[in-house]
Amino acid sequence: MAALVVVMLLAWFNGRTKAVASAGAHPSTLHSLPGYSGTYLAIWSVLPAFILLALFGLFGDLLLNLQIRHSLPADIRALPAEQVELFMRNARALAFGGTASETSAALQEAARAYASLSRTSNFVVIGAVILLTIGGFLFARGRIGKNFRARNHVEAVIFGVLVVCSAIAILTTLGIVLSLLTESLRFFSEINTLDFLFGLKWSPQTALRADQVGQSGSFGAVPLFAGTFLITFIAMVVAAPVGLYSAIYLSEYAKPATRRIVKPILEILAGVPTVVYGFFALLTIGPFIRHAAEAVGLSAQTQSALSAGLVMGIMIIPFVSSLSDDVINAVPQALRDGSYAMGATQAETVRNVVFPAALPGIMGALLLAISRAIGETMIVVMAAGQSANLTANPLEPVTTVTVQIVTLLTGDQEFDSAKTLSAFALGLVLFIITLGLNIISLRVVRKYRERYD
Amino acid sequence: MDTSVSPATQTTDTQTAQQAPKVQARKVNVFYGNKQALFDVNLDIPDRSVTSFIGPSGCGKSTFLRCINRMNDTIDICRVEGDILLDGKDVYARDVDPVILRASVGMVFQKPNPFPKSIFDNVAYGPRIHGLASNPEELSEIVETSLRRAGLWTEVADRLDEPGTGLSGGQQQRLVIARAIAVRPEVILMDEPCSALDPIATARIEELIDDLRNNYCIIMVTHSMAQAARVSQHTAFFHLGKLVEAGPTEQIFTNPNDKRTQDYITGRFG
Amino acid sequence: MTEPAKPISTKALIAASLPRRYRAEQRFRLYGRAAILLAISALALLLFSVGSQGFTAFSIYRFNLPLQLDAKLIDPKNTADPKVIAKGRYRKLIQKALSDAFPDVRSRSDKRALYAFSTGLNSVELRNQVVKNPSLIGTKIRFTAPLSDDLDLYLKGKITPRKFSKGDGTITASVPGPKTLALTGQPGAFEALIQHIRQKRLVRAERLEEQAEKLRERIKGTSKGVALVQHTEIARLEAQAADMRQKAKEHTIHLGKNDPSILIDFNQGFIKAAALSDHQLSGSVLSRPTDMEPTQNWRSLILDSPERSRRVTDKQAVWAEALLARGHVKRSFNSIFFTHADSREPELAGIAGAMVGSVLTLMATMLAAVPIGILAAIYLEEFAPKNRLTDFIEVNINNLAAVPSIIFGLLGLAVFLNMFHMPRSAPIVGGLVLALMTLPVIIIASRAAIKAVPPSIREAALGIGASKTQTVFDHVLPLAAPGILTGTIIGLARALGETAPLLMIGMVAFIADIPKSLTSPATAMPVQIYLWASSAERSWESRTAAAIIILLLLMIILNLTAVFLRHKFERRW
Repeated sequence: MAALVVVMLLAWFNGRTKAVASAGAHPSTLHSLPGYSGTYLAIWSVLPAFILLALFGLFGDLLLNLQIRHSLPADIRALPAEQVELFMRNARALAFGGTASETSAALQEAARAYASLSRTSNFVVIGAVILLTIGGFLFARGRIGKNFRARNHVEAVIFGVLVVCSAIAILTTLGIVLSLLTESLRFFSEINTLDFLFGLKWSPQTALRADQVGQSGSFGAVPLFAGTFLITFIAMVVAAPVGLYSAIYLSEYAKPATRRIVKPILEILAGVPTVVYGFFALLTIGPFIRHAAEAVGLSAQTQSALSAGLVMGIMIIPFVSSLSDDVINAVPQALRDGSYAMGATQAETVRNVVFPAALPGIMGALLLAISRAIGETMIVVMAAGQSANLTANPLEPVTTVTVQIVTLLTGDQEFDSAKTLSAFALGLVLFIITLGLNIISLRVVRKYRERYD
Repeated sequence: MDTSVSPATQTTDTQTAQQAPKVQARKVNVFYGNKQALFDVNLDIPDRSVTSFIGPSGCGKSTFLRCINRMNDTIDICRVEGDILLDGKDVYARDVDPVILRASVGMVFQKPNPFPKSIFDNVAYGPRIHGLASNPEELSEIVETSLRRAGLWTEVADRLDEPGTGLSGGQQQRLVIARAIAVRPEVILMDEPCSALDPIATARIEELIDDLRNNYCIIMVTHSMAQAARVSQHTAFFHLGKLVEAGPTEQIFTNPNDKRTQDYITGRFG
Repeated sequence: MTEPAKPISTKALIAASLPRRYRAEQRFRLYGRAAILLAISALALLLFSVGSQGFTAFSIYRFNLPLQLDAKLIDPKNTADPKVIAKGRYRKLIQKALSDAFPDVRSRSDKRALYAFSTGLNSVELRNQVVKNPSLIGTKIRFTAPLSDDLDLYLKGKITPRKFSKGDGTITASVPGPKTLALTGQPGAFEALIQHIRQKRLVRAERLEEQAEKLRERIKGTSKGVALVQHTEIARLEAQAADMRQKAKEHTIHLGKNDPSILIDFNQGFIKAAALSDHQLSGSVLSRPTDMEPTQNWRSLILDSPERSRRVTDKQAVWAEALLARGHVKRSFNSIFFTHADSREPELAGIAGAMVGSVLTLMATMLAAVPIGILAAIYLEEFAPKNRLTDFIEVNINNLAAVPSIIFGLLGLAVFLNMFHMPRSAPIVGGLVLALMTLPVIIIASRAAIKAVPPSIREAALGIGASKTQTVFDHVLPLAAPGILTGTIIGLARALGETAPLLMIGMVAFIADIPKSLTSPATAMPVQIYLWASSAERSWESRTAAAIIILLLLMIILNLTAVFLRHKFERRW
């Protein structure tokens, strides 16, 4: 890496000098500024080599893995996928000086092959990088001259970089969809999709050893969905009225001074990290609810759907209020004037004219808030509990999709078991639901804006 | 049309109305913050006729119009001094409720502003909030009467539950007028009601205004002198926040007393 | 028309409706105010509960004791070999220092209770001192280390309030047995204490009766078998309550296991009251008084929660009080919290590791997200043709901004860890995941900033022959920079507070070292908060809250910077 930087600097100065030299005594006759020639040369010497290095860094390991896998003895290749994976991991560990969980002759053999192949490939790549650097340098240097349009070439590269950067957004989405899909498909090849979507029992504890085939756990996700929706519902019961009334008060009633103070305060509420809300729910709201429930003769636990929902509602208030505030402010003043001119009071105007006019936008805002609540993780992980109860009682602990993803994936486990794969299936469901909500609400909000612009 | 429904007809005796002005302004000064927008305006506006306010933009005619139904209350920095009398009673008096005032002084704006509701609900809006109808039949009757009076009934009778925003500009403006009539006002203020409309729609509105003047005191701000001449019986000319001249339209347009009026009417400025 | 319209009726009708409508208006306004008040008080409650709990963690009680670095226990053969020195029995040395402070503590169980004042991990600290400076061996040093978390909590009054009150008049002591002591004072000397116990007993009786009552309520409608069991339970509760009420009336109070502890500080020793009446008290000696002379300077210490239901025994409490009185325990600023990484022992745990982890993670996030975000924004705003592809990118960015963060964690797990075999728990991976998450925020903010630069600037630059690229990079970008910077900081602040995706890529492990590089195992502040919040021991609570305070402060600083930049460079075109 450092070598590449040095080469780059050298190339830049060299290219610049050469360009200046080619112009002789009249630098201004150059087509492009000499700096561009330098950059051009630097790009040609470094970029191809860099791309090769990056590709190797990303995929070299994968290729190596495949190669070794093919050269494995037949008896090992015949093993189940998990065991081959384990074997490979051990081989890797041995080859690079780590410790393996078992040793055998075959493993030693594989590790040796691994190490030597890795060495060879490293040499090959380093050689290729050097060749590419020199080749690129010479090629580009040959082209630099008085009339060479270095700037246009450099700009073309810049343009390319810009396009690649914006494509990252697509790549991310693609990455999310592909990674969720592939892992989920593996999950659904083991577990029936319908059982997953409509099963009523969730206990993902699978067998630890391969020979305990009988206990494959049950993956009925309905209790998780129910828990998610219960908590989201409670959160919206809190956030929707409070957020809406705050927005209405701020945009219709409050003096500018009040607005200037209250809005940032609400924004602080939005900026508090969710883990802090989780702590708040766990240590303040949870015990409070338990005591309150006991005082009226109900039994409740510290971790409950109610405490998670309440706190999540608080978290979402600023979300609802600032989005609705925008929407309400976009309602034209002419409508309000029309209503006041009829002799309507302010409340009547808000309720009968402003609110209906803003309704589509507000719906969009609420949908976005719901999607936020469904995808929220830390509050529920800390405050809602882990037991997959199928209940509508908000005083009981419930679990949610996000909680299960966290519990399934934070611990030590094999990556290929149905248990871990189920987390990706849950993630897929979560992604689809939130994506749907987002698309609808973004569209609704945008339509609404266009209507009054 | 049966005039007996008109509240205006019933409110005052036609004879006395001819003599006593419906709206009177006495030394009205209006300030926006530190800026004074109107200076000592004194004006009598007769009932059962159309009075036009003309003048170049920013001359204060809209500001004055908005004083009459206290729409300026909604602007925080606006301050009104002097008296505006409606039927001899100061609308800025402490015991006058802007709600009641605005119900009896309707207003139509420059840009048609139907609510995002159905045509029916638009017209029913006023009667509903004020509780003017005791049952649904009464309400639909008020709606029908108002729409008829605004000359819109035949066009919308079969689509009352379609949104009011779906009508054409001219129809929307008539819908808004119907909405104002529905609460049986005595005075209707119109703030350049035709400036956003095409000539044909304008002509219809002008006809409508002419119709309505038999029952209401109509006060209209207009940019078009031709319109003022066509529609109104009385005209007041505002300039730089001052009322320059007021009188019967014919006189203002043919034989103004003030040089400025003369200049404006003949198009020297404005 | 049918309606016999009465002229006044309109106005009258409206006037009649007014009171109702104004009430509705008031109500509506009230709802608005209440909503805002609710939101603000929720914030206040949150900040208050975090603040009040976290505040105590910023100071800590440390003990400092003379400690003899006995060569026999460190390097008996006098080898001076660092390896030997490193294996010395430092734990034993600390224990010795503790028992030297209380020579009359003899029994094995008492000693164990005394040794609990110092966590075993303190010996590591002592070892490091000695290894660094072997010449200390054989000398006497003053060893300072944090008091164990339970005692720390006790002294902070968090286990049960330490209620001291000054005694009335002179008391004299007599010694009826080897470990007991009887105290006699003037009439009414112990009256206040007796009243306190009586009152506590009555309260307890009431609580038992309430429980019984609740059970009685619940019994209705249950099956007979259950009811029978419940009846027994009710009878038991009521009997207990009656017993309590009876005991509250006793003339001489005999303290039982459900009563508060009453400790009398008499001539620098402590006596635990077992029985007390108006002016007489007898009990066991927890720490020996220096002499038995009558004294006026005595005080009582009431610990309301009964000994068996707290983690600090009366003896430990008394020793802690003694050390405090002798100046061997002092409260001071908790520097450990800011210099140490995580630890199994709350008193040795700090936030430094997580802070460094967060900084490293944010660095990776910044390096990845900022250039890509800005370049993408430039492309979309300045170069992109308006076609379906750019539309698609735009929709994509908007949606990504609303994708739950945990999904990004899953992406990181599947792609970075499992596909590219990047190291688990490493800041670089966390940083990349957070970068993908913040990217949409930065792109959206940067685009807004670029869009706000008026076209006249571009036209001017293009007009003098600059290429499009030169125009954008030399003229538009500098003008948009403050806006971009503001958006970036806000995006990074959000990344700083993000937890869920980091859990997915293993940054949730227990890491006792301060991370040194982008690839060493690390955790981040929010994750540390999560880890501590899920720990059971009480002393983690205040540390969690303290960590939250620091995290919030950092976020506030970041956001204020953003606000400041916005104000300073805000330009309206």
